[in-house]
Parts: sequence; structure tokens; C-alpha cells
Amino acid sequence: MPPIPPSDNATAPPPASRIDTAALMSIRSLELRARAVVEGYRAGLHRSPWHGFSVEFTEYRQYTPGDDLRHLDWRVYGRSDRYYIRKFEDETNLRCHLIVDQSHSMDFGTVGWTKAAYAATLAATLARFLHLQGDAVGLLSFDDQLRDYLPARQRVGHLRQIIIALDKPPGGRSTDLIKPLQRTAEIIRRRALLVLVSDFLTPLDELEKNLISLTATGHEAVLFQVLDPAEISFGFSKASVFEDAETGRALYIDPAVAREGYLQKFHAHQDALAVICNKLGAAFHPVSTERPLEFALTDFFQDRLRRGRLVRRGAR
Amino acid sequence: MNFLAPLFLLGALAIAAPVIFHLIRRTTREKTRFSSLLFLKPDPPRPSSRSRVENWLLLLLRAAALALLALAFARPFFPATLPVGAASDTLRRVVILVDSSASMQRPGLTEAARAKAGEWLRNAAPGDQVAVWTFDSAVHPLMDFGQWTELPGGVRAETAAARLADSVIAGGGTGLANALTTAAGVLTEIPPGRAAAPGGEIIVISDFQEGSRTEGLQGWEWPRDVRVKLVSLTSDPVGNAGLQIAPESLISPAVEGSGNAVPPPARVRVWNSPDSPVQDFQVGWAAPGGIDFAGKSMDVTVPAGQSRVVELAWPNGPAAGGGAILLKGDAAVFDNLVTVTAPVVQEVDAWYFGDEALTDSRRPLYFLQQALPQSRRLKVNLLPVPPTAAVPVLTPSRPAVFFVTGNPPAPQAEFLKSQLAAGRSILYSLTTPAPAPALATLLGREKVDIGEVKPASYAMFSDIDFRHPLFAPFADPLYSDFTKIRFWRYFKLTPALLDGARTVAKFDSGDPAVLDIPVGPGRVMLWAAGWQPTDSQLALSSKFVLLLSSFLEWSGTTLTSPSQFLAGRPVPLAMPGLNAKAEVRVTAPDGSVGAVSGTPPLLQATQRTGLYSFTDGSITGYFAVNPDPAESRTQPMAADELERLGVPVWREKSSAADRGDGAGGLAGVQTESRQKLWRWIIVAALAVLLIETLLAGLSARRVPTPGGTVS
Repeated sequence: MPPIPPSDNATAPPPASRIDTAALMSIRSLELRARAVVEGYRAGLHRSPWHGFSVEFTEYRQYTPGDDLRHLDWRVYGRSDRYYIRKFEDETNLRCHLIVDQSHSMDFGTVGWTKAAYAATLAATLARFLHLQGDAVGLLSFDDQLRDYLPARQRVGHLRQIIIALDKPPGGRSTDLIKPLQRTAEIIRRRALLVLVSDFLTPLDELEKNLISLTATGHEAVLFQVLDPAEISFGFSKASVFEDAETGRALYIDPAVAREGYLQKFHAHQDALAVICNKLGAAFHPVSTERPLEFALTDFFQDRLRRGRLVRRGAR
Repeated sequence: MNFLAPLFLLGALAIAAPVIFHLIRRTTREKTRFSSLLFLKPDPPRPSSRSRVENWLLLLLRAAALALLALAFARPFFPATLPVGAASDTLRRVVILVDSSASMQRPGLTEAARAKAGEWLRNAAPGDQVAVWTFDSAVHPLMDFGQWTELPGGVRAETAAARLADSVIAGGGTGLANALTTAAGVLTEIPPGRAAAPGGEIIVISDFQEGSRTEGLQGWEWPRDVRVKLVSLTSDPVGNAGLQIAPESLISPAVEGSGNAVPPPARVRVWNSPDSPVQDFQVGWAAPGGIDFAGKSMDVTVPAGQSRVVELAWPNGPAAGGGAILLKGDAAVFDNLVTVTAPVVQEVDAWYFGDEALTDSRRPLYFLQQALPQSRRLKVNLLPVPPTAAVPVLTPSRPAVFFVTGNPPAPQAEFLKSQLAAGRSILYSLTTPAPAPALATLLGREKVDIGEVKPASYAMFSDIDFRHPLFAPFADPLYSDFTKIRFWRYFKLTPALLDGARTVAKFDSGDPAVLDIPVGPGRVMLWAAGWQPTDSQLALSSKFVLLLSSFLEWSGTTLTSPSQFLAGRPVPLAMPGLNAKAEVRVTAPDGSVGAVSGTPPLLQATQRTGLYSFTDGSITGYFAVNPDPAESRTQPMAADELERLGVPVWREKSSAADRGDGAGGLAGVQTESRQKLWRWIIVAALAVLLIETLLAGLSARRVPTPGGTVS
């Protein structure tokens, strides 16, 4: 099981986050939240030790005479009056589909915001980032069934629609990953990057089958597992009746007694999920909602870069 | 560490309560919303989990608070460790109060009291200062601190015990409050050579019967360093019946019409205590010596807790001065003999100077005849003197008072003037507008002008001087309303009449209505209106009777002084005609004779019960002194009565310190009182409770967040 990245490192000084997560999540507008993360992330990009990692392009760099003007980013030039060259690993257009879980299980949080809010911000941030790069971004949100589907497009105003769809409150009675994945396999015929944002707190058997069918058709899958710290440690202290956020089922639980069993099962689940992802070549990013979003982005892009190198090494 | 009230330490057992509460794990009704129960299985509360204690810190704090409270209530103190040789600095002062009230005459009580007092006296340490008093309604010091100190150590106790044995147990009441406050006052006096009062101890040896008077302790601030020890005595057999003088009815039909032929019977109340085992008694006149009946007795049945009034006719007419009534059938005989004075009917001659018939219902005499007070003790003879009659001849043995209306002729006026000179009083009511030469003669003036006034509607009394004896009975606001008495006609007096006169009441027009005019040793009460209905409504008012009664008393012709007194109380010696300037000789029931002087003479030594006589040489009066009726209530008073009244009672059984250190219980109490550790313990308990409240509040407010957050 890949370790769930901590919000800070106890041994080494943590990389300073430019954005306080609590302050960020207190912004009501999802669009503003996404913009804050992306701009913060991009402002720090050039100081980053990992130059050039991205989904498809390697980096923005300033234009120097002799560069191919075809790679000049005219949008950036239009906004900043500066010439930037976009460097691409792959010249092909990237289509990214964000598949976001909006079930009631995501409507849970003990750190001041819910997993749904965190997942929506994460998805919006990715959408905005990719949209700014000129990539086509689509959205598929679901609970126990498909809620919204926005095909991957790159036109003006599409990002706004994605954000409006992401901003909807959670609903549904359960998390059903199978139907959205089956629907995705039906809708998305062309090769695409599928970013699944969910807590994946469902039985994994069917998930594996559908992920296999997706990856088999050439889609690249990235799984963001958004988890609340309480779900990771089960650090409740008081015995009480625990109510399932989705089904409303209630169980009397004494955390002191149940913690061990819970953690055992939870880790087994996480391990199984990691094994599935590893087997299918899908990237698996468990994220605690306490963790700054830009770090989650960094992890994501770092992993993309590592995979690209692996791919390249494998290609050689 | 010692404790004044170690039983309170049992309160620490209450620590078990929070422990049990912490062990009981309530089936929570709280709900926690969780994302998914995928990894959880039902976990019903199991009995095994009950043995686990939750919130150790809170439990410890709560237990500590309870333990501190129990400790504080136990009144802990560190025993004072005096250095060797310093013991003599501790001055212990003890006042031993021995009850000498009438109820102590019950069998065995006096002996027991003296024996108990003897024990305390013998146990006194050489450095102690002891005072021995007896008390009934007053306090009688037998030995004070100075006398105790002056005596050699070996004979102190014996001397005090001997004085106690010689003391008299008489018929006084139990003035417990008076005795305690007096003793406490003495103990708070600063002894010579010391900077502060050392306080001390009062030992009360009494039967503490219900009739003890403790009202004086209410609101009395008890001094800090004075403690009281109660030594209670009980008598065998229990129960008591007693006799009490019952108040006589004011109006006696026997007096009216029949003169003194049949004297009113004596009235006594037979009272039986609630714990009395008997109810059949005999009551009758006692033979000399007070042990047997003089004649036939009367059987009386009085159930326990009840009383009954019995009337006894005087045998062969009233004896000289009075007689005694005896009760038999009761074991406690101290209150079975009461003395009653013979009924003395006071006779007064009221001379009326006016030209009218007794039957003329429009004239003043008719109403005066109706309103003059007649009672069991007072007989007023109304004697009209028409203008044509000769000057009356007074009976020397009878007091006389004079009423004048109209204008008596000169000889009568001169006669009245001579009576004024003899110190007698006249009530002069103006009824005619003619010039009043008789009034001028009485007042010693050449001429008195009287102007008739007829108000447009009516006149009323106003500006009444309620301090004047004539109106003093009406001073209470209940009776001070004179607005219903209206005057249709009155007489305005010349201002010269007002010189030296006291205006007792005015009319609402401002003119004087009632004047008190001194003329030599005598006095004239001048009413500026008539009381008959043609002039006013005064005679029709019930107040008129009382006004006449007040006038008689004010004039000195009648005296309402009682003839029954309680033992131990001062008795004013007064009766009509008693020469106030002469020395009054008093003969006590035991035959001893003493002299009393003063104005009025006041007899203090009335401890002995019985019939007293007093004389100024010319006339003789009698009064009876009986035991305080409260003494008959011999059942014990409520155990906590004195504590309830704020007396710091020190009980032998409740004090461990009493059995502990050699300085006695008082030392422990004083040490504890000085150290006052309980205050600090209470403060500590409050601090612990504050911390507990804060902690409990914090833990209750905490959201069920994970203990180990993802970090």
C-alpha cells in the first residue's frame, strides 16, 4: 500500500505550502479556490526542482530567439505580454476526464471541511490547470448513478460549466463506482486520461473489473483517494451510535474496542486497492483532506513525470 | 490531626458515588455520522466494558472534592502543643450556672444539681477561675472569679459547694436567656493584666424544662470564644400538674345590687402536662401550712395536656388579705399551692353638682349615671347635689371625685374650691352660656367670660394630646378616631383661662375643648361642651365610658394595680391612700419584715411565694406572689432549642476533643476556632471543583474528532 502522504513531515522540514488549506477551503467559490491553487502552484513552478513535469508538456520557459514560434503560448502572451514556449512530451492533444464521486460518503469531514469539498477543489484545480494549458477537460460526476457528464472540451466557458457541476452538493444513497466506469467506457472511445476522485470506500471486486476494461481500451487512469483523517486513524474516543452517511444504517460502536478491527480492515482495503492499481498501471494517490492541495498536485505531477521516464526507459 | 466532628468523615464514603458513575457506561444516545460502516461491525455495549473507568482525571478531581468537603465538615485541627511551662498562660474561666427555679423543687433535682456542680468544682484545675451562680428569673452570684482566686486552692471547691447548698430554691421562673447572656458578658470582660478576654466556658446545670425562657437569646450575638456546656437533669416521676391564678372577670353580677355580701369566688386554672400519668385531682382551700385542705375539696378531672378553670367560693367570707388554694393528686408539689388575695371592692363617691333629675334623659346626669364604671373591684356611688342642697359631707374613708355642670351657687363653689385645696379633682363641663362665677371661684379668678359657639354644621375634636392620661388609652390608632363625636354647641373660653393650663384637646376650629387646669394641689378638668345629646354626641359614644374611667384613675381615686405577682419579679407597692413619703414595711410569707422606700416603693425580694402584706402605718395592703406558671411546663425543652438560638452548645458525646487532650474539650474547640483549617479546605474543594468544571466542560464540548489525526 502506498503510504498516505502526510500533511507535514515530522523529520524533515516540510515544503512550505503557499496556501493555507483551511483558509483556502473557507473560500466559498469553488472557482476561486481552484484559481488560488493553480496560481499558487504556477507561481512556485519555476522555483521547483522538478522542471518540466506535467501531463503532456514539460515546462513553460521564456522564449529565446530561434525557438519555434509554433510553440509560443499566445494566451500567456496575451495576458502577460511575455513570450513563453510550451514544451511538450507528446504533441498529441490530451483529453482528461475527471470522474468525481459526489455520493453522501464524501459528505463527511472532521477537519472543518468535507471530503466532497476537498475532492471538488482538487478536481477543479486540475481542470483549471489543464484548461490553462489548452488541454481538453471533461467531467463525469456520480453518486449511486451518473449525475453530470460534460465531454472533454477546451473551449471558453467549458471550465465554468465544469466548476458549476463540481459545486453541486453530494447526493445519492451509496457510492457505486461500477456504473460510472461502465458508462465512461461506453462514452469515451478515444484514449484519454481518466482522473478518478473518490474515497473508494466500496467493495473492490467490481472496481477492478471495470478498471481493467478501461485500461484495456488505452485509457490512463489516475486514482485520487480522498480520505478524512478520521477514516485513516479512526481516532474517535467516545462510544456512540455510528450512522452511515450514505445508507443511514446505525451501529453502536465503541471506538476503543472497534479501532483495531477497523484499522485492520481499512489497511487491507487500501493494500488491495494499491495492488489493483499497481497491477493495472494506474496511479494511486491517497490524499488526506488535511494535506495542502498544491502538494497533492505536486505528487500527481511528480508521479506523472516518474511514469513518463519509466515509459521512456521502457521504450528504449 | 484531631477532629471536632469526626463523624462527618463518614461523608468521605460518598467518594464511591463518582466511582460508580464513572464505571457506569451509559448507553449513549449520541450519534456520530461516519462516511461508511464498511469496515465496522456491530459492537453492542458489553458488560465487560463496565469495569473500565473513564476519565480518570475527572474521577480523581470529583473524589478529591468530596473528600475535602468531608474533611472540612469534620472540623480538623492540629493539637496545640504548648511548650513546657506555658500551660499556666492558658487561663480557663468557667461560670457554673445552677438552676434554682421553681421546677427544680421536683424530687431529687436540687440534690442532683448540687452534686453535678460539686463534680465540676472538684475537677477544676488549679489555674482555672470558676464562678458559681444560681439563676431563676434573675441571676444570683454565689462566688465570682475574684473570690475564687482569693481562696486557697484546697478550699475553693468546698466553699463554693457550701454556698450552693445554702442557696434558696424558690418559686422563680427559669430565666435561661438572662443567665446565659449575663454569664457570657462576664466571660467577655477583659481580666486584669491581660490584653484580651480569654473567653471561657459556661456550664449550665438545669432540668431544661419547656417553660424556660429563652426568648432573650433571639438576635443576641454570642461572643466568639465562649462555649456552653449543658448538664441536663431529669426527674422521676415525670409529668406535672399545677395551679395558676386565672384572671377574674371584670364585671361581676355578684357585686351589683348585693354589695359586698357575696364576694366573688376565686378562680384558678388546673393545668396538667402532656406527659402526666394522672388526671384526677382535688382542689380546695388550703389549711395553714399548705399541706391539707381547710375544708371540703373539689374533685377535678383534667386529662393530660389540658387545663380547666375552677371557681372556689371563699369559705366564710374572704380571710384577711387572702388565702391559699391547694391541688392534690400530683407528685410534683412545687406548683400545687397558689395564693390569692381577697377581693377588695374599692368604693368611690362621685358627687354631681347640677340642677336635674336622674331620669331626665336630655341632661348630663342621666348619661353620667349610665356611664360611670362599675366592676368587681370598683363601686362608684353617684351622689347628685342640687343647687338648693346643702354642702355635702364626705365620708373620710372613701375617695371622692366631683362632677360639675351648670353654675353651682356660691357655697357649693366654695366647697368645691376647698376640695381642690385638699388635692381632689373636679370635672367641670360647661353647659350654659351665662357668665360662670362658680368657675371663676374655683379657678381663683375675678371673672370668667364664656362665649357660646354654634358651628354652622358641627365641630369635632382635633389636636388631641394622647400623652395625657385622659386620652392615653386611645393612643392606639385603632381607637384614636374621634371624628364620629360631633358637637353642635360649645363654649369659647377667655384666653386668660389658658394660662398655666394644659390643652388636652381642641375643637377643629382651634378653640380649646378639654383643659387640664391645676389649682393648688387639686386639678380641674374643664370640658368646653356638654356630653348630653343636645350639645354633642359624646355621651352616646362608647369612648365616654372609658373617658370617665380614665378621669377616675387620673384623679387618683381608683387604682388598677394588680395584686397578683410572679415570684422573682419586682413588685410596686401601691394602693389608694398609701402615703408615698412614708417608709413602707413589708411582711413576707415567712414572717420576715423588711422596709422599702422609693416612689413608688418597689419590693425586689419576692423569691418566696405566698401572701405579702405592706403598710405605711395607717393602711394595709396585700399582694400574692405565686410561682411562674411557665415552671409548671416541666417536660424537657427541644434538644436543639439552644443551638437554634445560636448558643454554641458543646456536647460531651459529640466532641472527640473533649475526650482527647488534657486541656479539655474547650481547648480543642478553641484551637480549632483559632486555626480554622476548614476554611482553607473549603477553598481547596472549591478550586478542585472549578478545575473539574473546566475539564468536564472542555471534554463535553470536544467534537468527536480523531485522537490520532493524520499527520
